[in-house]
Amino acid sequence: MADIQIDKQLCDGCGDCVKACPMEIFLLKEEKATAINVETCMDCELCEVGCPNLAIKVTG
Amino acid sequence: MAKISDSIKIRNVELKNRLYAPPMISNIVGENCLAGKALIDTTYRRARGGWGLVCVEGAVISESTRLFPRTVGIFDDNQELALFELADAIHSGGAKAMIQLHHAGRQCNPLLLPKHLKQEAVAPSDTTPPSPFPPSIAPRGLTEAEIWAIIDDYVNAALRAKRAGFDMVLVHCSHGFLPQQFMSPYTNHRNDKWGGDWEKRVEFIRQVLTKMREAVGDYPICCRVAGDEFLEGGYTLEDFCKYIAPAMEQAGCDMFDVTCGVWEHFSPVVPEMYEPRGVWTYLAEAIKKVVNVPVTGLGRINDGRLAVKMIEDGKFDIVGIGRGSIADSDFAKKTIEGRYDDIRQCIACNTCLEDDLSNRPSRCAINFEYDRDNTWEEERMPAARKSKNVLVVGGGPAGMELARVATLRGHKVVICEKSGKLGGYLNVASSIPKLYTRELLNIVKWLGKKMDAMGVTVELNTEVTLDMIKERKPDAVVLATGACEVIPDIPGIDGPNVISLDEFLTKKKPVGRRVVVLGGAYGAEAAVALGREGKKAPDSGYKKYHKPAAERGLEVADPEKVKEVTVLEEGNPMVVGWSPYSQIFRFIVLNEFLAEAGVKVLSQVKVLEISANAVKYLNSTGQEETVAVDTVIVAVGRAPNKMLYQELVGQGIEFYEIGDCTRPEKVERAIHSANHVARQI
Ligand SMILES: Cc1cc2nc3c(=O)[nH]c(=O)nc-3n(C[C@H](O)[C@H](O)[C@H](O)COP(=O)(O)OP(=O)(O)OC[C@H]3O[C@@H](n4cnc5c(N)ncnc54)[C@H](O)[C@@H]3O)c2cc1C
Ligand SMILES: Cc1cc2nc3c(=O)[nH]c(=O)nc-3n(C[C@H](O)[C@H](O)[C@H](O)COP(=O)(O)O)c2cc1C
Ligand code: SF4
Ligand code: SF4
Ligand code: SF4
Repeated sequence: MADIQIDKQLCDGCGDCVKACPMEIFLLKEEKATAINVETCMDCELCEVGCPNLAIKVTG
Repeated sequence: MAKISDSIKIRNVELKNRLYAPPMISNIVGENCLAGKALIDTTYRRARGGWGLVCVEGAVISESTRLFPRTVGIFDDNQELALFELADAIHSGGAKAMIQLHHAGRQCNPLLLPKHLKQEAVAPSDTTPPSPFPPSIAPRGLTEAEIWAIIDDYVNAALRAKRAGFDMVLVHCSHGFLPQQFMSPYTNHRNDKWGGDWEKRVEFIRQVLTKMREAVGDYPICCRVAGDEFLEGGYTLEDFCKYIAPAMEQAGCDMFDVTCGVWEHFSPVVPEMYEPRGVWTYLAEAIKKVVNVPVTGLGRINDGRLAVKMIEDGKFDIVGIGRGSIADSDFAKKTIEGRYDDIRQCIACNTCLEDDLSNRPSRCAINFEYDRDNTWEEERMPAARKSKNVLVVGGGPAGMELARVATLRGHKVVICEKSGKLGGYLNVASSIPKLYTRELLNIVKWLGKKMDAMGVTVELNTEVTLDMIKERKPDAVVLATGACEVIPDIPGIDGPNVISLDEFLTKKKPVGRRVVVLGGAYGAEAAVALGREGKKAPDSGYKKYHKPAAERGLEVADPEKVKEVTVLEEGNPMVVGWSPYSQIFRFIVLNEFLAEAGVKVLSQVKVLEISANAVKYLNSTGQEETVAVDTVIVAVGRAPNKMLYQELVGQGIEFYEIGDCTRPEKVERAIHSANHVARQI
């Protein structure tokens, strides 16, 4: 199962990852991205490539 | 909640599950339009992979239409026997069988037509724009009588499909082919019964469906539709849902297979790796809301988890896996069993389609067996006569695939890799900033797992030298050492402001505000990445194509970060975005990306000199010009890594070369050459 690290310091709550993730894994909570349903992550790294602030790191 | 393993009925035919392998041109059919052994074998191999429904590639309904040189024919009763073989192969594999009925209309290549016919393409109107495919010959508008004759051709083709044993037909109304040309205001300029408003533009497909139904009776007639044309002047999803889908359902369409696009823009039809997974599945979701028959959705779904989610969320009823079924014919079986990580995931490189368009057999970059007859199947490979100790030099895709296949044959394989991880150049190629190329890692991850599971010995941080080979005395050596960058001899190239493409991509060196990329083939992706700095990311998908090109520029988000990027290319404009691994399809999208990111592209230039803050060059008319620069990125090409080869020649050691070290190309060459050599050792 993939591991999703979100650096809350770097995240500015833009929501791009919420839109980008085909598995609908992200939610914005208090203007920060949070990963839910991590067990369905398919390790495609769309979120990581798409985050403008380099806040996400996915490891497969 | 529907599950992917649930059965579903299309009219009176029950599919055992929700997984569908859609039509894909193989270009391995004889010039007589008859399927031969390779297509029958490859069709069977796919059918046994657990699919509910398998569709045979677009079969031409008439002798007088042709887009690809080697297409299945369904226009003559004599073709029925070959068609029977295909349907039978699908049934033997346990799936339901469908065949696609195709008329290219304006997208016909008249030069491929039999000599006794007029070399012309036909379309709704004389003014219909010519085919975007070369030779782009202007089409001729159809007469009333000709329209009825084509409708007859469709009906007769459906009857042949039924007689040959297919469970259903799929009328190709997408990708800008004839029925869609009638539906679209972009291509239908008639003002009669067949065109003028929405009602009349759907008359053609209405008549095709009505007449077909009269002939075939209670038999599923499905349609592959374009949910959105993504084209200036074409129809949109809203138009489709409002005017086209209801009319088609009423005329008897039993299933909507939702795709999109026209070939004016290649990418929507067969989306690039740059686009996200599931890129246009929202079209199927929308169409499902307005029709009452089953709907299939697809588009860049290469992961079983995503396929399952689409069905469980009820977005549509059946999920199509196009290239995913090429890259792994067992995708369906593995998905249903939850063995997601076992799937060899498509990397969306479009080698398969590139092959079709180049009149080569459509082959898959990562699945060597695809479109080959069963003598090439791994399970039929003869075991090695003698189990050898094989030393593989280099752990890129070529070396890993070789290790996998040679191990299957009974050899003992050791991979030595100079760097700290497997995957070779794909680790770099998949990390282009702001451009999604991570799909390239799919094959690395999959092969990596195989190495572990098969017990292949991998020695990382181990550079192989001639001495080491002599000391270890392997029975055979396979060189898979890849390629290295070429640095041209230009005054100033060794200056501190010059970095190589690799140094940029591996983030070894920082980049200033004004950047010049030398080399438009290898450098195009990096130039896009730099051009996107400080700008809002482009929307994924293709809605932008409804707008004129001038309005597609990216919005600035952070002016401080915006870079001024210039590409200098010595070759002609066609070279830009056209490297050995990124050919015609990516050439088109990459040029679109470069334009929207505001990158300045100059071709046919000669670079004269690089100084501390400028690059001097001769422009395409031979005049001297300069461009101000902070950083120059050199991306002019790669050359095979031949060092060990030269040392090994004449040493009396059995050795082979595979992949980029024979000639820098792409994943396909790495995997295919590995397969040939692994079968030979
Ligand atoms: C910017 C860029 C983007 C690309 N994008 C694509 C793409 O989209 N699609 C595509 O199909 N292809 C793409 N390619 C090409 C693709 O990366 C190569 O074709 C592929 O990696 C070749 O595989 P290989 O195994 O032959 O060599 P490599 O992947 O280069 O692997 C060779 C390995 O050998 C190791 N090695 C070398 N010498 C020794 C030694 N003496 N001892 C031990 N180890 C050694 C190296 O460290 C390396 O890991 C791209 C290339 C570039 C430059
Ligand atoms: C090599 C190749 C050939 C194709 N041939 C056809 C075809 O004959 N008819 C058709 O409707 N679509 C054809 N397509 C489109 C696919 O059926 C599918 O819609 C498309 O590839 C998107 O799905 P995917 O992302 O799952 O591959 C072809 C695609 C490829 C890659
Ligand atoms: S894309 Fe990045 S910055 Fe934006 S919300 Fe997600 S994690 Fe935060
Ligand atoms: S890796 Fe892919 S599936 Fe996983 S969270 Fe990121 S975007 Fe979603
Ligand atoms: S050739 Fe490339 S795009 Fe086509 S199926 Fe294979 S991996 Fe996918």
